[in-house]
Amino acid sequence: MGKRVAIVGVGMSKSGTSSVPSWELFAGAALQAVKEAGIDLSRIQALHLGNVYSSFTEMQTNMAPLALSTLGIDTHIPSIRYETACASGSVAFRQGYLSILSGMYDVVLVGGTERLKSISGSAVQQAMATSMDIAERNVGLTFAAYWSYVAKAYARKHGLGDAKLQELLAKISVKNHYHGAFNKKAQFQKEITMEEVMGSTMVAPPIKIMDCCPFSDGAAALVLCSEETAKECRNPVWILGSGQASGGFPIADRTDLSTNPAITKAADDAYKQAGVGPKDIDVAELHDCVNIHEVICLEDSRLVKEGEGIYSADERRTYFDGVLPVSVSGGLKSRGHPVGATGAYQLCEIAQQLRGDFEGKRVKNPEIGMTVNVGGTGAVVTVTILGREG
Amino acid sequence: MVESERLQLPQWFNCGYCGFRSGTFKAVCPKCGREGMALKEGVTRGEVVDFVPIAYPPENLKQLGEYVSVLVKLDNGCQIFGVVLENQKSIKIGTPVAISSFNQETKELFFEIL
Repeated sequence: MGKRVAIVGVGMSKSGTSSVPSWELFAGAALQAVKEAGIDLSRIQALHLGNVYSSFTEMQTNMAPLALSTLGIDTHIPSIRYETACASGSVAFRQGYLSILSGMYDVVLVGGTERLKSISGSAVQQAMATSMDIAERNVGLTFAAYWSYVAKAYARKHGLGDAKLQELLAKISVKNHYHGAFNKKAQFQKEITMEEVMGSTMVAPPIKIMDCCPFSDGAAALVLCSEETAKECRNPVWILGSGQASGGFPIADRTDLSTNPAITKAADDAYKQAGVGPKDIDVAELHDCVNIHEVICLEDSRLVKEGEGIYSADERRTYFDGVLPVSVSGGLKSRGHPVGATGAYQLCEIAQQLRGDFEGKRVKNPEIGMTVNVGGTGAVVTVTILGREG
Repeated sequence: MVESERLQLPQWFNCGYCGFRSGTFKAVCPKCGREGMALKEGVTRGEVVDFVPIAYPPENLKQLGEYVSVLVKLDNGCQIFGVVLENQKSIKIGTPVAISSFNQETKELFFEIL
């Protein structure tokens, strides 16, 4: 693969609650990205858009051409919506990247959008549950229960007592809220205390409400282009490696719930393509839908050794000024989780960290960054490696 | 409801691999690659591998009230999720259980503690 593809513009709405529909949210983010790229809207040749739940939450399908129309693009370019649960935004990004690599297109718009706050919490939970195996939902499994099984399996494997596990998990939530307090696009721009996390409502032991991310509205967009076109743009960020993998769908089929081999496969593919290893990663955005999953992402992507991920926030290794800054945006916990857009947010945030213009805590001179975006109960995984230099 | 003994679980492929755990059909065996999933009756006992008390049931199971989600390893080696309603406090890892009922309509699967 001799060609290179660059991110030349990014745009994000503030994550949280939106009064406008998700396609309008996306149009706003896309216009930011296009302006930043300095590329006229008429040069966009395709749209790849992640969105998951609009058919439940907004009674609207066929989102991609609607987003194009809302943007005011009437050049009849192709547009595609991707639905791979929480990984939809990064899968849309990856498909846009591959379409440029193939030589088919030169400039594409990618991203994701979601609006979940406009409907009741129970309706959102019902919609989100459809991303799990229907047979397992019918026999009582919930997302919260799944993460509880994962956390307990991890604790048993590494000899952690319940109290210690809960304390170490809480430190991840505290860390991510600390970061999010400085992120102007975050849903919760405030710090939280250990006491608040430890004292929060138990959802499915040992998982408490403050171990979990919120549901959010939000949209994020990126303009991708070929190396030739990137010469016209200032400050390109290069896509060095992109891996995608599928995990087993039914949970009961898995022999070890404390690990997700699909993350390892996607990460290894991305490392190989980028020609780098875990030690080269200067900053990462990981998928902390529940804080135990930040641990799983850290370990399965080989950023830390097995059994070390749980201690990383406690030892301040994953703070913005630590040896391995993780989720400096605040992660899903504090920035928020607009499901179909989350992967696109992560990519925008890492691009901004590498350019040095992230509006929040900045990592000191990062050269290589990584995102891990995971859909459903680990069934879809993307790992993307970005670099300041190609 | 059907009697638990009549519950058919697609459990075994030709090679003997336990391909069914949660109720998901597989067209070919992930281990040997051959077709030929078989339906078997009568495997209804096992032990609890892990469990999670559910204080806030999802919409589709609201009528159950508080329940315990159990991951059970059946005597034939298959793993399967289910619901325990009675004697919730006495569940531990390793607790022997048996399928008590299966609702054909809703596909809810219930275990009882032995």
